[in-house]
Amino acid sequence: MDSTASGFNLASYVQRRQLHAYEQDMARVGYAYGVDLRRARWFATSALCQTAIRSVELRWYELIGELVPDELTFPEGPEDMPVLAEISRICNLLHMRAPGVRVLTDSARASAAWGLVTPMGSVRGSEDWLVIDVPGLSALPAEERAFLLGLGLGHLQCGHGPIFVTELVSHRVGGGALLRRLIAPWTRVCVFSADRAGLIAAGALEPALMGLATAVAQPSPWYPKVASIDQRRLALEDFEHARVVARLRTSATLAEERGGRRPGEDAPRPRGVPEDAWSLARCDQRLTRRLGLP
Amino acid sequence: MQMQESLSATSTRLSAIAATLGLTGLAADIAEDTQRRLDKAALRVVILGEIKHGKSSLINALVGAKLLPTGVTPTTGATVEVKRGDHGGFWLWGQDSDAPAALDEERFARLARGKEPAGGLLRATVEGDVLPPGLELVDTPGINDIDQVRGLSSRGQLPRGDALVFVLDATQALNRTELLFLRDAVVAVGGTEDSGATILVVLNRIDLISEKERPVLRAHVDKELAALIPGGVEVFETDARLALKDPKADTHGVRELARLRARLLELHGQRERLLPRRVRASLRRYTNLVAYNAAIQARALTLETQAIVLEVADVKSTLDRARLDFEKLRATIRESREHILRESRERVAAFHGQLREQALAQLERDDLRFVADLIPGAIQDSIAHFAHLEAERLRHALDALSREIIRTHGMMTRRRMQEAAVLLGYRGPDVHILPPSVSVEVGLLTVGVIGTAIMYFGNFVAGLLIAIAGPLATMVLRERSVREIRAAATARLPSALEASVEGLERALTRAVDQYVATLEEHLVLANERIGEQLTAVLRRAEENLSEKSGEDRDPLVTRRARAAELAALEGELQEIGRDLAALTL
Repeated sequence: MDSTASGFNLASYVQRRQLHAYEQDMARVGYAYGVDLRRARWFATSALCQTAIRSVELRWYELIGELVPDELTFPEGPEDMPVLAEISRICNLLHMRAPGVRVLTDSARASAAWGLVTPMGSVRGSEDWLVIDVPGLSALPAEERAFLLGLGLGHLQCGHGPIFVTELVSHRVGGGALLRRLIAPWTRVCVFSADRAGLIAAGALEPALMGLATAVAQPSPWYPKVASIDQRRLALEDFEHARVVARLRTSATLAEERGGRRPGEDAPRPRGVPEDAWSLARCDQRLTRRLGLP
Repeated sequence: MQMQESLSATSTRLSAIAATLGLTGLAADIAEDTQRRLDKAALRVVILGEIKHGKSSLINALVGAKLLPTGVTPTTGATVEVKRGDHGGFWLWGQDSDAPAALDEERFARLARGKEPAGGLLRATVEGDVLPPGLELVDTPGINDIDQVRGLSSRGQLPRGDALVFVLDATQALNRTELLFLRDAVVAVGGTEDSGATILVVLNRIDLISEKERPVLRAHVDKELAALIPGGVEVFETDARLALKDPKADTHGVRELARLRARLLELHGQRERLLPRRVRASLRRYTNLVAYNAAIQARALTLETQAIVLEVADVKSTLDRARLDFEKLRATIRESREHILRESRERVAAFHGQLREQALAQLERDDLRFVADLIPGAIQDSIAHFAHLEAERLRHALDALSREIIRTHGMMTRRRMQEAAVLLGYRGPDVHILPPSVSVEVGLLTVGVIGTAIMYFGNFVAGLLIAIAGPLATMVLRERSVREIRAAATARLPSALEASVEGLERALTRAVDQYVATLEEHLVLANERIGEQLTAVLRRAEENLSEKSGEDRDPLVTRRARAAELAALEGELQEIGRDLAALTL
């Protein structure tokens, strides 16, 4: 389609956005933690939460004016390309639309106010941003980097952007204690879905656990208080047994073979889904029991 | 020592990659330049300038002997090296011989004047302390020699020099050709900041300028050079003719020549510090040049064998026979850049107009969710989609420009344009439309709560009132909210769209400029050997596609395997580039 021709139609892009919201829902159901999804759905549709979160969004738009370009800039240089290529790969893997990306400036990096990857977004996911520290990410091993990017993208796909926006606005502008208390139950469980996305992106449990340790070791002062690392580690170990992960590994192996590349590992690569692989429901059930949720 | 070993190993790797791509001449240059700089610690001073500006006279004055032929007509027709030797004399290093052949003065003069092809490297050696060991002076033909081959051979010396002495005639200093050549010289040596390269400018025949006019001349030269080379350049006002005839004469021109000699000796004394930097800068340049050629070979591997054969023939006939006219090529590049960008801006402006019109029309919808949640994202999607299509159009235009300049093209345009489109795809919405006011939601909740409470207490009249007032209040508040959002969005949207489209235009212009700079750098670095290099990489692509390890090998498998090998080489080149950039000296 030639966008400069008279056939240009903005309405078709609006329709695609609507369709995409439906696809996004289908995609996250494939791996996310059920309790988190239910709470997120309630959060996005409840009039009470909507009313509260709108006040945050209004302040968020004002805050954007201060953040760009002093702390955040657009990705513009060739040095950003490898990380952007990695984000594209993970977005394809998670079947999600690529978010807007903002890069931390040198002064923002020096201030330690931001982590390596921070998801930000509005409640309906119309303006999702992934804030990244390019030099920091580039210095990490590839799989750890993939885990952290997958973690951030997973948060966005599961609609957790407003949690981070609420925390940031509350930290920078003040107020919002009531709202933070209101969304606390959601905040507590949201990280499990994102961790799963991180494991899918990293491709293996070992680097995912190392990435998790990196993420926990570099907290930002305003980041939401999420579940403990032990709970997250156990949840990831459970998810490692899931059919979803086995299916993804098989398709990765097939893609490598189709691309004419031989797998570089000595050990035989996994093919097919093992009979004893767990269903997603079983992983969720174990996690819910451990967390003591009703 | 460790750093020298690292540079040496990098040079070996790069040279091997060049040879794999079929660039045997370039591979030899890489190895030879690194060996000269690191193992022999030899500083190469290249004397450059237009014809009849006194380059040979300057060298004669520096060594204090009439070593090189000078005269009224253009005299230097070949590159000549002057260095210290055990015995003074004239030599010819044949291309395939192991030892130099001694020449008599008359034969040397004939070869140096270009009266007959030398078929090798001409060298004059001097005895005694005139030149210290490890200092080489290189005389070159005029850059504007009527014989373009000679001019190009001077350009070919640029990347190999460690110090460039650019000779100007004081009576006609710094014309446009000289300025453009100096610009190319800076590119070829990898800049002057941390490349270890030194550029010196000599205003020769200063005796022909009256003492009163010299400050004016000098101010003009300094101003032009400062605009070209950050930090300026050292200038020497010499009289080489008198300095050779009477080295002890107490004139400004002769004193300046002595100062130039002292400066060269000073550089020679610093060569342990300078030469590793030269090796690093030179290897970085060579890495770029090899990468450009690899990108050309990568694209050639996607062609049919017959198409490659035709392209080789085209490159050969155009570049080899017609020779390169750098000024003409540069003018073509400049004009094409303007044309490509003008057309692109027109398309962007047309798109901007349509987008603005339709976005404002979308704001007329009464559904709040559409306005606040979907429109910003949809606008960004349409911009990203347009950017992708525009990048494709620009790629085609720039590929056509490359074909016009070097008769072939590589993968560089595709990569640059993909980068531009990807970067734009990740910008995210620049357009924010405020969500409905909180007061609307609070108002709706309040009406609901009050209505429920009154109905609960059973007051029939009040309940009836609420039954009517509730929906009415809801309608009024919603309508008011929609109007507010629409008014705010209508006011904000045009400037927000303008900012987005400006970002798009900036990114596209930058991508075009980067590619044009790449094309110019390729021309400068390859110089007179560009035709030879292009045909070599295309031929190697043809050979690679023709090779079959077995009788029944699938051509598609061969093609894929070659492309994978080349991709690995390109990855290695990127790694070398990164390592060199990170190497601290």
